[in-house]
Amino acid sequence: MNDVSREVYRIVGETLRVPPGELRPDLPIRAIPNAESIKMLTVILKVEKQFDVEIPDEATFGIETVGQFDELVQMLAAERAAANAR
Amino acid sequence: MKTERAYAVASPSPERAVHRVAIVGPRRELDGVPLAEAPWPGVLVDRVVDEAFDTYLDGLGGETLAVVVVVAEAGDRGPLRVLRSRPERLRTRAYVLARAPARLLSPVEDDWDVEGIVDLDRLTPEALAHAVENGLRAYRALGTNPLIPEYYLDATYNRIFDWFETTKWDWRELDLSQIRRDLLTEPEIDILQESAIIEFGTLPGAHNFLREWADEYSFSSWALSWGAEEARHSLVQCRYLHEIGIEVRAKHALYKREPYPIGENRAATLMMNIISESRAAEYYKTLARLTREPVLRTIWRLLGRDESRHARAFFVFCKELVDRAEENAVAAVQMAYVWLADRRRGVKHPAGLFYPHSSSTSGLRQIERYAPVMTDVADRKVLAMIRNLLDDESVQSVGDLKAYLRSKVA
Repeated sequence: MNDVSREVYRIVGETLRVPPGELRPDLPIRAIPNAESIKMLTVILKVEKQFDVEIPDEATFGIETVGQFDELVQMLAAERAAANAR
Repeated sequence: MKTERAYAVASPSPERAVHRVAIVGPRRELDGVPLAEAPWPGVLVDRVVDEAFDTYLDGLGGETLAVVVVVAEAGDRGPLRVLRSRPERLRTRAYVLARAPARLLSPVEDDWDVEGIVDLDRLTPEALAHAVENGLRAYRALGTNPLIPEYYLDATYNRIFDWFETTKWDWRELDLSQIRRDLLTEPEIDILQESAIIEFGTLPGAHNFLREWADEYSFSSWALSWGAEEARHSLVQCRYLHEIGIEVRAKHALYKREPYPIGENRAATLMMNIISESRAAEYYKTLARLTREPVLRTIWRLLGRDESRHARAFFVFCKELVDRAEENAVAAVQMAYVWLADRRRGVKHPAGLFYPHSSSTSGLRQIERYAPVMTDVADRKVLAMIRNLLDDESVQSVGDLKAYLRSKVA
């Protein structure tokens, strides 16, 4: 797990109040008891702020699993890093 | 501080006191006030010499003071003046112990918001304990809602009542015997049934409002009026259907009897309702424009007008919360973003979202398909209201809502 993933999992766990060991890549976000829309929006906003990225609306509401969310953030963070390096 | 905390009534230590009661008066009178062994867990009784009352209040800091009993010389209400000069002590309930009071409650006492006057010459421990007990109960009843004004008529509900009441429609505006069955289409009849059923969802909405706003009377009064109007929306459409030979089963009302979860922030709950009312208003207005049947057109036009008024009233209550604290603004915008931006499974509406076992979700989809642009029209009006809420003209899209929220992340 790289630094971005660690941060993503930390933010998801803290915001949705899930113990770190219980967050797995294949865990459906909707199966997390606290993951209603407003809480998920809070996750998105914190991640956006942390990595200076913008998560598209369709992804905000369409992400199925924690792993998918992590992959999306990694991709966006890498794009941001590449843009900053230019 | 000249405070004598002489009696800790059934309270093992001052730290565990939930409420304080202060007996305030001339030194020579204080020991004669028979309030000692009353059975109130967590209540601490202080005896305070009247000239030290101001200092005593300073010493309390942020602690609550539930009841003050003022032992008053004839005409002297000094401690009451001291008490009421402090805005943070307006909730404290006050009793006066006076010798041979001329009236139970004079206008002067009312000015100081006195709960009652007890005759000092006939004072018994029971009478005083009874007064203090009532004072504690009255103090708890006042709650801590900062939006409740000092005078009843200043409440927001009473300020919006007139425009709300004067725009109400009358059943006499409708004549169901004039229905032209031949002008109705089958899709319209389907939509009419679904609209009647969707409106049943407002009954648990009213229940929820009263639960969520249990500590006040202003919005609660509005919720009763709103609920009464919404109940007519189902009724009038069911009666129309009855006239054309279609009966709506009672099960549809029962499917929506469960309360949905109470919101975490009232401004957010109000935003959800601003959106659902705005969308409902646009649905009805659009349906009224499209139908050729004149009685149904009148009904849908009236219902659309109702829903527009409802959206504006919810906005008024939301605005006062948003103006009070930024966290309310953020909560309202979060709710707006979630409801406006996410249309993957069609528009969200409480009647469909919270009751998947009813037909409301598919009913809403049916209405959207019938006139697809109306949600966009409604949502543009919601964005206009959000601009007003935030006093920010730059908010033009859901993307701007997200940008606002991003700027507020800690």
